[in-house]
Amino acid sequence: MKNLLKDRSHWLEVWARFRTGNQLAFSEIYEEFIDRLMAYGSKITRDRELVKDCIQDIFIDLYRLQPDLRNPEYIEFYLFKSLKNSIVRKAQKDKKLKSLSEEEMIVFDLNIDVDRDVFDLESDQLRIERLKSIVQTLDPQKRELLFLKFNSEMNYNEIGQLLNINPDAAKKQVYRLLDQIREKYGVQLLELFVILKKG
Amino acid sequence: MTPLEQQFIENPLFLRWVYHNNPVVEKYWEQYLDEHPLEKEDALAFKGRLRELKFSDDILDPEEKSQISANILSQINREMQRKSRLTIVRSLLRYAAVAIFFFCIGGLQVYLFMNKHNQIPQFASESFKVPSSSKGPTLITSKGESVDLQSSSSTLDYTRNGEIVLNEDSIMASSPDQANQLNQLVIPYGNQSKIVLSDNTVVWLNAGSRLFYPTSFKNKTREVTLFGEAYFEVSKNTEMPFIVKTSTMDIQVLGTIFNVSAYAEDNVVQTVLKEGSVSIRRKDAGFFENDIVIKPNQMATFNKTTSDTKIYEVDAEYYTLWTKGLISFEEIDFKRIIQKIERFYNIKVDFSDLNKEAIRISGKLDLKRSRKEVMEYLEKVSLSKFVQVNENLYVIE
Repeated sequence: MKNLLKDRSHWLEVWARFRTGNQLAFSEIYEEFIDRLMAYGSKITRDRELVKDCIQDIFIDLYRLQPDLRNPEYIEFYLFKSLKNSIVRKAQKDKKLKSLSEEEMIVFDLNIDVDRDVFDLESDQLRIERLKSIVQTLDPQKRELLFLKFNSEMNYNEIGQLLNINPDAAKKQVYRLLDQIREKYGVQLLELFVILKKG
Repeated sequence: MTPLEQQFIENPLFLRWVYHNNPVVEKYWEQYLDEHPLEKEDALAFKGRLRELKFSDDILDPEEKSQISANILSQINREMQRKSRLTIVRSLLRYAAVAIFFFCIGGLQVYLFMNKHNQIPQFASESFKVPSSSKGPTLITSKGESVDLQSSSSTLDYTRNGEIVLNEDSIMASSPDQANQLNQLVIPYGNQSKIVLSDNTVVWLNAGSRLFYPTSFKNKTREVTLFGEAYFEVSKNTEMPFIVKTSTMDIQVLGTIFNVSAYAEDNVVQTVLKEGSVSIRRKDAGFFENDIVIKPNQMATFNKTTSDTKIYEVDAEYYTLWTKGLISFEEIDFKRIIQKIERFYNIKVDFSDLNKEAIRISGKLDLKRSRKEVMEYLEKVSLSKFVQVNENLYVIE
């Protein structure tokens, strides 16, 4: 059961196999992470082609560096970090973006996935809009924090490193953000209820 | 957040359940909530709340993916060649990748194929999930030229010295092999091909397979390497044994008719013998381990996970029907049948209910009929439904 879950310990084991030169481990890493890297990268920048180039590069680098990976970082952290660095480095070569700092460059677009299993497209329209606007008003770093927390198995130490904040702050912010979202969302639902009653 | 919610949010499996659920994770939580009934209500409520915060992801389409994997592979190949040159110079390693082959792929599976008896290990990508956009059968000659064989079922004939006859009419000049370089015949999904080797051995290659072979056999043995499935009619030559190499085992024969199914994605390698005799040797067999010898109408299976070898009595006819566009099965897992169909029609079929994979089915399918007819037949016998998701993807419900 443990292995089927593909959890952190599973990837540690795959990572170890890869470092001993196991080619199938490389394939497994590729198959698992290609989509997840795209999901992450395309939020950092809107330049899709740039993200594709960077993903390609980090897999080639991974293969090339294989024998030197003696000090294992958690695979997910290693790949996400490499991708982010690669995108920022490449984007900095772009004239228009050159003057921007790393923080300014990262747009971190987040859109709510309007899934029919979760939302009723007709009756939930207002809720969806509100949720979207709440997420959009967060600053990019907070959006990235939520994304990483929800969509990876990285710990706060690793997430903190990716965002340049300390691990405790990362953890506190996650809790605060979730409380905030619940609060705002709740208040707005209450308002809605009041409006409906008045109507 | 309540302490319980904090506990959930710090559990990666909880977040997986909310955002990237799969049957294994679902089972885990079913069991967990059965054992912790007091947490159930809160867990489900929290899950529901978090679920609304699922973010939409940009995804790569299959073509973009195969482009990326091709770029990675070619870059890696270049690196490998460079490295191998270095190693030869330094004489540090016993082997070097001299012949490098790759074929572009949906998923990327690189596999280092090494054989201690062979001075040239081949760097081959074992599994090639060929995307729907891929071309028909391709011949990659020992000189590295790539020839598109044009029709989805083609015949290559090497028996005429110095010439290769394609589909009984067009003729190509064949050049002598460069030292230790091999020809490669690549058959994508949705195609089949027949090839007559220089010794008159006839090989039918099934969909999703490839065969490495020399233009003419010059060594003491006649050796070919197979990924995928092929049916062999080996011409008799007791002086020169014929050896089929696969990633997990070598099959040695003198003159005989047999079928080998060794797809990378299948966990079991099957060898079925129709006439003559064959002996099979596992690649990692110990020094004292005997070869496995099978008789006509026997099948040897090798399980890649458990390394178990078993011998069954079978009707060999059943396993060679595919060369005539038929597949036949007796008490075979539904999943295995679906794999065959996927290869034949170059489609992808997923099971929504994993229990259905193990249904056992007997019968015969004529694959020359339309995809739709074949599926209708399978729907009847398996009591399930094929739902088409897009042009090449189906889900069985």
